[in-house]
Amino acid sequence: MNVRILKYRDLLSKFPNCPPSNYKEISNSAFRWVHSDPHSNDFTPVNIIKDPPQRILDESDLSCKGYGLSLFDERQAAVTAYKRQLIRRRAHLLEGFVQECGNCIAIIELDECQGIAGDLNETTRHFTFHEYIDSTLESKIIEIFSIFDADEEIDNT
Amino acid sequence: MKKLTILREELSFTDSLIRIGDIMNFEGPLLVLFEDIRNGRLYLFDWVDRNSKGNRWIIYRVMPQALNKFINKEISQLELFKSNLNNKYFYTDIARNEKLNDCRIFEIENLPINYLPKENNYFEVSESKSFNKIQFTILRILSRQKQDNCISTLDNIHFISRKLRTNKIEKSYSLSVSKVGKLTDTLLDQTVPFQKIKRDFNYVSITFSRSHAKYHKLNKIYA
Repeated sequence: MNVRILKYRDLLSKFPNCPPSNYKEISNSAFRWVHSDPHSNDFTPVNIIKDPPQRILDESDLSCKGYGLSLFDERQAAVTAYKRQLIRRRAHLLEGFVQECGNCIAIIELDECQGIAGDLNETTRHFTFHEYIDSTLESKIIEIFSIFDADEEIDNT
Repeated sequence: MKKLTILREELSFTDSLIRIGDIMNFEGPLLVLFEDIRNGRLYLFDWVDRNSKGNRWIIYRVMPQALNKFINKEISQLELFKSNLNNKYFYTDIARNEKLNDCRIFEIENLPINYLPKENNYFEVSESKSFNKIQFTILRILSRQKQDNCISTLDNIHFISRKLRTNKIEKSYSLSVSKVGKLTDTLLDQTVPFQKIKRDFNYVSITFSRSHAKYHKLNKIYA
């Protein structure tokens, strides 16, 4: 049997049961916030991103999930979650948020070769996805669309 | 990040704040609830700023009543922020690779207006981590306050006695006091001076200055 290796295996091994044993391979469309042009952060887990510095208060913020990618299983859920984050952040942080996360959504066709998915949050439709070492989610993008309509602007107030 | 005018360093938090849970979290904490284990006071760590070196958190005290309203979506984060009991705001800057325990906390003179949360920012349980623990903590503290029959105001602390058994008002009241800083329920008998005393039909209300009361949690009034 071919055992697949996860990206950041050495870092994952520092956490117990990481990723959890119930994570499984899936074949589905998934949605992720990305930049309109390819960007180094687009498929980099939050624990790996160095700039901007991660929000950490104590060790518990460096969780196993932080080495996975945030995905959604519905297009509208990805849009809603993004717009909610715009409300959560102070106005002066919005520009940084767009630089960090992009302002588009990529539709990605996941298959069993890409990695393993965690439990779906039934409310937000969010799940965490740990990639296999030889996965390139960029190559699985089938479409990228802007989160904002042509006449829509980010509310900076 | 904006330069803040520091009033003083807050040393008393060191080692006494415990993290209860994240009220808002998305790929990291955004709004985090802490409890001061010495006195059961609740503090929020609210992420307000960042630069290439680190993140800034504003820290402020909230009443459990206001926090309860917030998690029940009765008030916005802005209203919660403004409900800060003593209008004191603290901050800490946590640099890359640092943790809260490595950092100093300062009280600030003025809060920049752009650090205020947005008006339409309401709680969503799906964005919370350890929600049950947060809810339990709030209810535990509310329940304890109710038992104490204690009403706090900005300048003074009022205590209302349990129903009087006699019509007699004593000149001094013997109070059962638990010393803050102890997690046990050890009671010490002390007499605490009061500023004002008011007789109602069945109850006596006594006002203490904060300087007399702030280091003590007054448990019971014997009339």
